[in-house]
Amino acid sequence: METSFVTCVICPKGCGIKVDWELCDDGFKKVVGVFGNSCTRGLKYATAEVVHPERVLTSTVRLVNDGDDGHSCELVPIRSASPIPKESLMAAMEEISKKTIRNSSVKMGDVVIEDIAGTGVAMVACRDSAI
Amino acid sequence: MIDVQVAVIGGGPAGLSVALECWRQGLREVLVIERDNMLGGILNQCIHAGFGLHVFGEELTGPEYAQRYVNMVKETGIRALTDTMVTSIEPIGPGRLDGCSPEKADAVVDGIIVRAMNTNDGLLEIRARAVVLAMGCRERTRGMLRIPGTRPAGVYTAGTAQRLVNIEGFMPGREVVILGSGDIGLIMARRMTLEGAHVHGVYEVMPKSNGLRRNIVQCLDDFGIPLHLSMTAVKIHGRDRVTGVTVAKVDGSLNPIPGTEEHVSCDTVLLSVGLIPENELSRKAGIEMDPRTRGPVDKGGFMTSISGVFACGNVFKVYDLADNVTTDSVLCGQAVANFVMEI
Repeated sequence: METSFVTCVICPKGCGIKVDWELCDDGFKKVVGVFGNSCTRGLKYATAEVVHPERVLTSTVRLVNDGDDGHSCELVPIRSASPIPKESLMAAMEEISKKTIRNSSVKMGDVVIEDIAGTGVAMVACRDSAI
Repeated sequence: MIDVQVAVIGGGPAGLSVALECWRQGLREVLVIERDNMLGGILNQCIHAGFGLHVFGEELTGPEYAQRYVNMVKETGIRALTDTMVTSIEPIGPGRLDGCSPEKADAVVDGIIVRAMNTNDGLLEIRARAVVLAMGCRERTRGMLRIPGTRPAGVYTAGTAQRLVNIEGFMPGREVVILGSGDIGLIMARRMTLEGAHVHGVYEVMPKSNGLRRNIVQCLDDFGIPLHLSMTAVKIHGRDRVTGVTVAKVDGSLNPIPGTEEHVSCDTVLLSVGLIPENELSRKAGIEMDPRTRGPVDKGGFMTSISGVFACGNVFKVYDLADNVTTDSVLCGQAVANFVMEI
């Protein structure tokens, strides 16, 4: 049995959590014990952190309307609807940097990118656009 | 002249929470005055997640947290003036009643005049029974740190860089050194990295970071950005643009140790070295200030030394979490409503 120590990033409390795990025959890690978490969110986070670390990704996309010169356009903040694998973060950023929303407005919660970097997770708008 | 029961100065998490609570307590003439072009305050540039766990029981980004409050405000009759700058607040003395219509004179004996301006209305005079100061805070700057060296472009506070990247939409630089390990600095280390910049490291003069532990994990450790404790910048180099920083280890009294200097090449320096409540208006109005918090002295129930003038949120004291600002601002809103209804 192996032991890992992780700091929970879910809330500002930042619990130090001890995770006991075993390496299975198929190469996957199996968590056998989680200690030090203060809530169920921490349990879920610590398990994922050992087995397959995930993060919520936030960024912005450009909202371009006809007549905008491309330099004075509005930015709309976006987030991944749920955490995505940590190793997909940079690929996701690459995809987001190419994305623009053309001639339309968005509302908080609108899907901006359906499947970010092949993770199956959507990127959604975090606020209403001004226009 | 605009007559209201409550004028709230600042439309960030504190101002919106206070205004909403005043409305919920039954006040119907509530005005929020915001100098930016949208409500939400600093939340709008804090696009990272981690807000709302206490207030909403779920993890939201700053803009989502703000949007929820903006939506709640829209459902009420709370008025909001954006792009509007308050220039002074002044309690109404006996002499100030001259210009009032007689039928209104009784109502404003204890009132406060708020002067503001915007490009549509020009100069505005707002007469309020109660005023809530909710202007938030501002970052400490290079000038306050007295870092020697030249004065090139490329030295920003972390929050300015955050606004440039997340709202204005451009990168302030590519090779970044961060001085101070406040939460905004840590968050900008990650944000700049995600946007393609190279963050050389975060230098903290204290032996321990004052940022949240989770931010050290998810903003620095995740991206392999080193955190150098007990180190500070002793010189900034560059003529037109920053070319580098000299950093050095510090001793127990925070003085640089000779011989430990290292040169770090970079084109951008971000400062994350603390926040100061933004109290120019309060000082100008003659409100008694607390030298420790740099906010107004609480005379009980969030009221300042001027009757009818309240303060809440970061203008009052610097908070670590927006959720705590909201919780306290709701209490402030109740105090404001009680005060106005007792008049």
